[in-house]
Amino acid sequence: VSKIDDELQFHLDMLARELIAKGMDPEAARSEALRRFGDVDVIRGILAPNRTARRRSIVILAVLGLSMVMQRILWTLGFYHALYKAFPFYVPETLKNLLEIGVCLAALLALGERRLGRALAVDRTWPRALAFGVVCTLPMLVGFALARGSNVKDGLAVVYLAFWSPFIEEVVTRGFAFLSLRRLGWPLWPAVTACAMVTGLAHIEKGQSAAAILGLFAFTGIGGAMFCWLLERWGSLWFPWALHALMNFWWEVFNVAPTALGGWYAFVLQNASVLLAILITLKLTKARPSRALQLLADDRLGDRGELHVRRSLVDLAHLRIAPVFLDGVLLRVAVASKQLNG
Amino acid sequence: MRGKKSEEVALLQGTLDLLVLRSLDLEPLHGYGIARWIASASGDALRIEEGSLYPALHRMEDAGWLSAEWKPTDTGRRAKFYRLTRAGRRALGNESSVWRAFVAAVEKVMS
Repeated sequence: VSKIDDELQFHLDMLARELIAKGMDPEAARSEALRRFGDVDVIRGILAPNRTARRRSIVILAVLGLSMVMQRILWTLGFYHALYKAFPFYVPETLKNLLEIGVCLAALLALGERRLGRALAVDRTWPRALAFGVVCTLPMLVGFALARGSNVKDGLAVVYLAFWSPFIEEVVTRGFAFLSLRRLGWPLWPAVTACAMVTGLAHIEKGQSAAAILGLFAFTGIGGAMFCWLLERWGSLWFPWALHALMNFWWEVFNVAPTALGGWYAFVLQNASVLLAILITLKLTKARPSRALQLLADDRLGDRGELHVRRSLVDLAHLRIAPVFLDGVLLRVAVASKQLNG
Repeated sequence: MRGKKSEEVALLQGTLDLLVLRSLDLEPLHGYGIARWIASASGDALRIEEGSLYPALHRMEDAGWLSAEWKPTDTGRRAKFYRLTRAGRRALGNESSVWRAFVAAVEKVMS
């Protein structure tokens, strides 16, 4: 018996006891308690999604963790070593990547998603996203080009490191884990943090110093948060991917190693690109409806006691009126209550 | 009878959150305790369909307004007790002033 059933049963039993104490016979007391309580099945149905959501969240984060340690799992197998010896590194690692994606797609199917492309926010905006990536990373292109020449030895390795590997990371961490949590109702920053924590934990190696671990958490955390935010604003996986890919691309093309170039120079150029990405995104996209608005939308299923204003907002949300408009209404309601207070 | 019932529901529009928050202002209570408190504090004027408390309680718990703990009651049976968090206390303050302003505004219109 679940906690929810326990909780509702306790209420019904107490209510029946009260009625019995007032002189009702037990049978009549039980049915009167049920009548006063309302439809138990409906209420259980409203509460159950919370429970399912919690279980699903755990599955999603576990699958994310599994993908993150795929390299270490495969490393225990002899044939994987053999692949590394026989081929360039990107051959065995592409095999690993396909397994990572496979696990995530299987999890999405198991969670009941049927339109996988849509679930992962893989749409047709990639040309626009690439343009966004190129513009944002212009500081890196220009800065590196001025400082040093290009010397690419293995074109396939660059394609792997710059385009394929970030694509896998975006699909697994952002498209699969982050978006699935968001669909389950996780607010933006908790979802970002949970994904960053799992990614960080999965990358901790034995014998690392505390400072190295903290640095890793900070790095995956800030980078991950940035890419999650881009996905949230653009609604397409291609935008975080494009920025991620082109930052990697210029880095590889110009063979940049922080120590060779003087760490600060590359660091400044990278941050200029990120800053540009933030500014362009703020300029060209709109914020999603706030958590408050989502809570209001939940209320429709919730209970009978919401403010009338709120209920009519929820009705608007139900008619799928644009969130922008809803935000305006919400704002007006807030202003109105301020005026009432004043 | 039917008319009377819908009148009761209309009376409760917009107030369940506020009533629940207010009931937890003094001490942690389980759902049944909250229902009894609302009934007695209102002199039995406010009767809610008691099951509708739970979606509200769980939602406010998820929003961080309430925290919950399973504890034994006087009878020894375990029940889920809710208490106000700091955010819940803030929400109670906000919701009460909105409510008072709303009532005052309606009163102004009616008088």
